[in-house]
Amino acid sequence: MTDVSPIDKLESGVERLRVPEPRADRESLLLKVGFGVAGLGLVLIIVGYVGVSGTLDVGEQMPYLVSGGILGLALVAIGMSLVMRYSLARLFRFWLARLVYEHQAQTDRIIDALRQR
Amino acid sequence: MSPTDVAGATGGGSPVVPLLELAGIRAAYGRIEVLHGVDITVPPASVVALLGPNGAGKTTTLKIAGGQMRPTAGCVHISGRHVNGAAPDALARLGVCTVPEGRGIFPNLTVRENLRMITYAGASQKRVEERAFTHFPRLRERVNQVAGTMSGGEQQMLAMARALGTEPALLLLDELSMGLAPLIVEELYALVRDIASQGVSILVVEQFARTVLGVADIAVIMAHGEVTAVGPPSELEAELSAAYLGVPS
Repeated sequence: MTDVSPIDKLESGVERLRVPEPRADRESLLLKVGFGVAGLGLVLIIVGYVGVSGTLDVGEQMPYLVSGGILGLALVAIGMSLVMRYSLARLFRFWLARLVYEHQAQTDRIIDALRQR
Repeated sequence: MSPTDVAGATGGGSPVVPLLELAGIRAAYGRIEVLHGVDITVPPASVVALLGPNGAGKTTTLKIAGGQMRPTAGCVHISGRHVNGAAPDALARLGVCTVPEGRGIFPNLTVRENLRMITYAGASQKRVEERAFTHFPRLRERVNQVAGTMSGGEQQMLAMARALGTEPALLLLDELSMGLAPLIVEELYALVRDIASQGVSILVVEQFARTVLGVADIAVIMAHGEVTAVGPPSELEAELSAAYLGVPS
């Protein structure tokens, strides 16, 4: 072991210490990802529609139906699920905070009323 | 008096960077918040006693200081660096050493084997044993004894010896006096004072306040997850009774 004092070792060590940065707002990120995925699904559906409507040959329509229609629908479903999940979480959290606030305000009003009697 | 005031007071004229600073620490177990904005400062080479009744949040505060638990809000600073979320083993390697409640020794290993466990932190066995036996000559007599068969006081000495083997800069002690005879406790706290005089900063959690007040430079009283008083031990007698008995000071 070297003769570096414990304090010096700690001071130089913490400078090099890897400290994980706080995570970004994951909820907001996933909400945006949900909108993005649903938007991509819609674009695929439109591309599929344009492709299918451009030909009467069923063999040529099938790839558009599968890649554009079914995959597009799946992406819209996944994207909207994410949007629902994270927008509802925000809504319910706000609702709960509002309820707690209202409850507290109501209690304060009752206490004030009792004091004035 | 705020923790910062105390740090400033002990640091003299120029501002001293505290070795450990907890600022606005909040912590929770699941959805139950147990610390509600704790501020504690440990200046270099000082003994800070963290006192309070059962369930005040002392051990949780210690876990946060040692990196074993991540705060939900607030900052942990070590030597002025923000270290929230740093791995506890990384902090331990740098010299932040915890002696947990219940000692945390290996009861089925001998004293020598227990001391050998700390050599993985980098110190040689010879150096670890030298430090251990200098501070605790009794351990030399027990060197080949299985640790679990020793008395409570000797086990606590072993836990302390193992901590000193890491050559810590910051020592976090949790309930040193737990289950020990008063004479042993006095002996251990005399050693705590001695270690601090060698430049080590010590944050000691203690439920039985009187024993630690004699060696502490600063006392911090906690109750219900909050710091209720900070100051030199001599000034906190009244607050101490209030914190433990739940009567307003």
